[in-house]
Amino acid sequence: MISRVVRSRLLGALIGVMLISWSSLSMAKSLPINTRLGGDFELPSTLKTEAGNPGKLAKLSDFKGKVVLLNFGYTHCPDICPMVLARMTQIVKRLGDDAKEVQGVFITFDPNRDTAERLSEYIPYFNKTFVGFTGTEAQIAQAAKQYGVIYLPQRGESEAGLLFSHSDFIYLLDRQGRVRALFATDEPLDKMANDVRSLIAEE
Amino acid sequence: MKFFQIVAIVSTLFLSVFAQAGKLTAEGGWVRAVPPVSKNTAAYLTLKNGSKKDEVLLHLSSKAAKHTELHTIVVEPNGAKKMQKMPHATIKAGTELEMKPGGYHVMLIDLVKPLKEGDTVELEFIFQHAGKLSLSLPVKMSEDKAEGGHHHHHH
Ligand SMILES: [Cu+2]
Repeated sequence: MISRVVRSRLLGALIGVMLISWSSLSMAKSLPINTRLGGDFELPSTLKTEAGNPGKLAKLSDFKGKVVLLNFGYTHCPDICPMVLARMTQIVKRLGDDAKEVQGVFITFDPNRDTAERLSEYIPYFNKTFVGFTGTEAQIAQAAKQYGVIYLPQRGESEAGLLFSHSDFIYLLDRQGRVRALFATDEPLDKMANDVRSLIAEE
Repeated sequence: MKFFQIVAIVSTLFLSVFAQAGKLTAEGGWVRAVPPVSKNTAAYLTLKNGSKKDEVLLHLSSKAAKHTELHTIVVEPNGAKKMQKMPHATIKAGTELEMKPGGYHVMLIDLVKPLKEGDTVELEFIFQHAGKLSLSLPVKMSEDKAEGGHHHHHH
């Protein structure tokens, strides 16, 4: 009799442990808030002014309420920047209907060549909803600093002319504009899409 | 030096490319489609040296661009990535040179005309031993596999 009680208690405890571990496994860990990086900026964008030309001043915080995928680059970049933009495009594609909850943002660190006009011919090629930002060198330097972005012009032996050595993270921002994840170029797309979904679910 | 006839099989369905010069083969090549406003792009492929001799890629060219260069990406101590022109590349006997986004690539500078998805780009490589290797690569928006970070090759 006693042994049966002990056994059933043991069984109960075992089931309890299993339930706890199951629920902690199934409940995805929420992404930590990065308090070191991020912040708002207001810059000329690829959005159209009232006159109908690209260059409308916009803030990152205008996209508050949406999950943001943000990256820095330059349009004369032949390898890394189009790869990163293509990766952002593919994440958004994976989201299906949830894509409308996401805003892609590109900030150039080559504002002398990347005017709002040029950006508006370049960025929509990857995804029509993505918005590009440019500005003065000082404005760009400030925004880059907020996100810990490094970019250094370099003249090498290449016929490609002015190139930059630069960092290439995709920043994942939640609906409040807080940095929640940095994605390197070898981060699997499915994992990134899952992280985006977890922020969409946050409300 | 023996010159082998070009063998390039382009399958538009699977977008796979295979070309060969002697014991040197090229696989899985593609060229990145870029917006018409963009004058530069990159080509990616894997070169396999199946011979017992080290092979050197001496020269490369394409009619699609004014300049064709071999580049690699170097990660600097601060984490920034820097693109660097390589005068040539050595592929040791029995090994391969994998070109992929963020690594070795063929830079096409000053495109003669914009490239769009579905176009093909002709490339010509000259190797020290295998001689000439010509191939035509499909233009694609991206290679999902290469950009998913799923496969990692270490050399
Ligand atoms: Cu390059």
